[in-house]
Amino acid sequence: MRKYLFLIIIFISIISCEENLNPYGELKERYILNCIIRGDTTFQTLTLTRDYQVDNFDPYSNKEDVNIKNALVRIWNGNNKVTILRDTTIERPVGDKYKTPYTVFKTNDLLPNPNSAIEIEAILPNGKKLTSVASVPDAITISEGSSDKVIPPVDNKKFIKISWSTSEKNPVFIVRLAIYFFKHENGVKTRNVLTVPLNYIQYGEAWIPNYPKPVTDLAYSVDMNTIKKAMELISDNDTNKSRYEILSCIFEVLSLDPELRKYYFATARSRDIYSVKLDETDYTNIKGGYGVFGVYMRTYWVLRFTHDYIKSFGYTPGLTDVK
Amino acid sequence: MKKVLSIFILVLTCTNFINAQDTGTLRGFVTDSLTAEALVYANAYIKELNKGANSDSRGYFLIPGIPTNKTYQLTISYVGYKTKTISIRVTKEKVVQYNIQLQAEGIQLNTITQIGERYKEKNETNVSVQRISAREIEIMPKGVETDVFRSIKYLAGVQSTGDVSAKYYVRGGASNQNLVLIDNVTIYNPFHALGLFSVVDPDMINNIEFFKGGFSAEYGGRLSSVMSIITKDGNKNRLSGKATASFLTGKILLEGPIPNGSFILTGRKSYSNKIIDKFLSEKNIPVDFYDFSFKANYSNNDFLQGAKFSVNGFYSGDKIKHSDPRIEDYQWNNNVFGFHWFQVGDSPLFYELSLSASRFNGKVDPKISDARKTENSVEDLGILMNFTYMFDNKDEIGVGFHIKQIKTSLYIENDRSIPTDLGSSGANISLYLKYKLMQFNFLGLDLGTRINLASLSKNENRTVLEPRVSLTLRILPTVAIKGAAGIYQQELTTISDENEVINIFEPWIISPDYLKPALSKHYILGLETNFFEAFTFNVEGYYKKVDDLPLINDKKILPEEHDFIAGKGESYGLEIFTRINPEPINFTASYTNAFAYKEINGKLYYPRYDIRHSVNLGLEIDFGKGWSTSFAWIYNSGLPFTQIIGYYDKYYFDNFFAPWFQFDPRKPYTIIGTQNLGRLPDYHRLDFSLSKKINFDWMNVKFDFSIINVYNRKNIFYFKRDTGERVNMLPFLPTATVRIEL
Repeated sequence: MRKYLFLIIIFISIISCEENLNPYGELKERYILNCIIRGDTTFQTLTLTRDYQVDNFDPYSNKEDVNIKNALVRIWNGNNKVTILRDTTIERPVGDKYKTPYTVFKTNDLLPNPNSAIEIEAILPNGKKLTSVASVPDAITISEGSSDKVIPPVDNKKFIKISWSTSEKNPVFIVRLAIYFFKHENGVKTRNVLTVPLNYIQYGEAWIPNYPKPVTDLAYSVDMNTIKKAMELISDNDTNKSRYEILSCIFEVLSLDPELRKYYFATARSRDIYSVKLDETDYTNIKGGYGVFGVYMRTYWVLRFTHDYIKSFGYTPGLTDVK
Repeated sequence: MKKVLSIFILVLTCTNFINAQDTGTLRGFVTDSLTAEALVYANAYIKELNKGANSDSRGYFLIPGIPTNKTYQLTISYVGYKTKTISIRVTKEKVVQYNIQLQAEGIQLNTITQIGERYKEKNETNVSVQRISAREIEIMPKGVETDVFRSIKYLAGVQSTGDVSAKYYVRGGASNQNLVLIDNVTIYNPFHALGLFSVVDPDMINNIEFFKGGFSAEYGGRLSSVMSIITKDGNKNRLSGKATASFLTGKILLEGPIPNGSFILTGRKSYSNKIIDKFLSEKNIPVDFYDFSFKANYSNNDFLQGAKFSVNGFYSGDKIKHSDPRIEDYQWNNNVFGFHWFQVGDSPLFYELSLSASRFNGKVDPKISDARKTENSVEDLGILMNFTYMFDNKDEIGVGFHIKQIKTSLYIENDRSIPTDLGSSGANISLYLKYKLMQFNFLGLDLGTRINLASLSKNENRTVLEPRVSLTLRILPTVAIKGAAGIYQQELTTISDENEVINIFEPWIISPDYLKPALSKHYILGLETNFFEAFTFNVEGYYKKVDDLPLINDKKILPEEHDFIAGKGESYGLEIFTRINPEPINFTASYTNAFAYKEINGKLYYPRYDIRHSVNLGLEIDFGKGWSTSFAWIYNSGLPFTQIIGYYDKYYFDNFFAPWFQFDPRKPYTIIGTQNLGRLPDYHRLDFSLSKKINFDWMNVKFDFSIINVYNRKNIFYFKRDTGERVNMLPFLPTATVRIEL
């Protein structure tokens, strides 16, 4: 009887074991080009990398530098002008999973022309070529007449509103309203930025910011109660309010080109927290590899705080007063 | 061809006429003597004539062509009940009705007395049909608690992608190709708790007919299978109740008589998430669900001779609510209402009229999370009329008229917060005609067609005729060849895809106008043998082809792009089933060898539920004195999965406004290989149940103890692509339920 019991236990132990599974197929070398051209600067950057595999199924464990150097990278943007991006190495941001400096291709001589085609070509040291084409969106113009300039608004409105115009078809805009301020601490002045959300939602003791999603409208407005709450949260529980030096509020709006828009939507999609989807499709506009090549135009609008408004929170005005 | 058909119809008509001489018809209802609940598939047999019939899902049977002016002995038998023999006499060209009540022998199978002359239709056209009675549901392996959707996965040809979901896939068809009917009313999302359990409380079920394919012309609207659930009528003799508690739910049942009828109420409510967390790898999901059903029936010969009226309702709801505004909320519910009129006339004609309303609502409220707002509703109003006439020679004509007005709406908020309305509405008007040739003992033929007079789809290329045929040819007294073929159209689809191994609910919509409604063709051939009384051996082969299958357009990036593209599907396989049931043992074994493919954009792949080899073994033993036990062992060869080719660091737009040097916006992203080309390790699991029933004078108590995955097999469910973490299916899980019947 004992013998049978022993055999049963051995049998169960064997069949209940976790079978090893190697989820990897054969690695084929692939290259990735990421280049987002900004419309408000001549300084542009690009990265070139390759794919990789890891032994433990956790891609975050990869520490091997996958950057590619010594590639010939050229961008054409109207009038057959060629801009060459040259590689350099820079230190990683703090907390980055890679510890070695990484390679960035850069130029300080490319300001994209609105409503024009822009083309990129990267020839890698092994002769592989990655190419892509995008179209530079139209510039964005803030409508001064219908945009607020002062906080609080002069006509005692309950909200502030900024409007803009563009000739872009089916545009998508990314917006941000942010308060810039200094904090004085131990004789040191640090510059800080607090993004003003669309609104705040109270959850227990905390106020949860609800940030705006991409918009298609040509205007953006924020309730004054939200700005008030953001102003309060600058110092939060700090009783020494006067050490906060408030500068101004800056509204920024970005317009994405169609390719960047597609890529953005493909990457920004989020699933609900419970669904489990095993295979996800990828989107790229890079011929011969992965990644993205796109352009966005950017403009901004400054809203000044009145001194009275800043002082009402106990803060110190950092700029001259607006009348 | 027309000539052949004309001669065939003429022969049938003449035969019917000749047979109609000097005979009468016997009909009746077979019910339980204590509860008056219909006993389905009971045997009614006249030994002197070697004639008989099986009762249908209402307990109704009809034996035509009985020579008049003579007394016969009618024997009525049913598993678990005392066989009853009564004297009957029929009148020329009249229908004589005898309602027979059978007395239960007790729940213990080993106390069954030997059934006398058991009648079995020799030529019944029932290929790919599984009939499951309430008694069989009770002795099925339970798991956490009895769930018919989970139990049917033990049948050959029914696949599952894991322990977590109650969703099932029949013969290579997707889960949205299965029709689920409760008292002839469609239920659109019959699942609780992210698909973990079905909404159908087994205590409300009288019987189930499950068609794995080749279903006849009275069923339409789905490509793969039909599960028709008939609910109990309620105890006509006395007021009684049941209360059941498991680790997951608490439920009650109340039933009793009303003047000229009976009623039944069932209610179930979840009260613990501990078990659900086990199913979902210890993710803490605050699922809260309930279901409630009622049915009342009325039958009064003073009001209307031979009529039976019933109303039924079914309501289920699920909620996942979070107090944190950063986590989205979910809710979904089913509301079903039906009115049914079943009428038997003075002739061997019976007809039924059903009016039904079914509504599904599902909603994802993102609050301030990044989840997409989703709202789905399906409103289905239906009228169904069926007429069945049985000739003296047992041939049947069936005619039916089905009208469905369906309105679907699906609001999805895209990433730009722009709502998209994918809803539409339409009416499906279908007529079905069928002729059931039963007059030859060696041959049964069910020939019919659905005629779609109006369709939900506005696509011009929709199909009007859906011909169906089912055949039984008994070549030896113990051996029959069975077959079926047919065309099936589906005009509704869900907007979820098979790569989602867990999802909240599947939104239903009418197939978009730019796609032809999906069409499947079934071809089935089988062999049924009954060499011994307690031994059954069946083999069935099938081939199924699906065209214009709406598949999710996974290349969709922009909102204006189509959500679906037309694909193709193909599946074929062989199923072997055997049952050995010398009392008190019931042993079943099945093996399935199946192949399934899908094709999208010219690319062929195995769907996620393509299981090449399946073995199911089941053993139920009744020890007597209230003790019974069951074992179920399942083996599936590995499920397909998509291999990882590698990773790359993908650019994400977490913060457009940060300076470029401040952080690296790239995160690892998985590069996947050819879809579903890899295979996971084999799956196998042993489940065990032990039950004890104690009868007191005034109540019965039943204890069930179950163990899921007895030997704690670590079956892989999936691995997370972002972290490589392996997620296994259910571990060793003991559960228990207690039921009190008053």
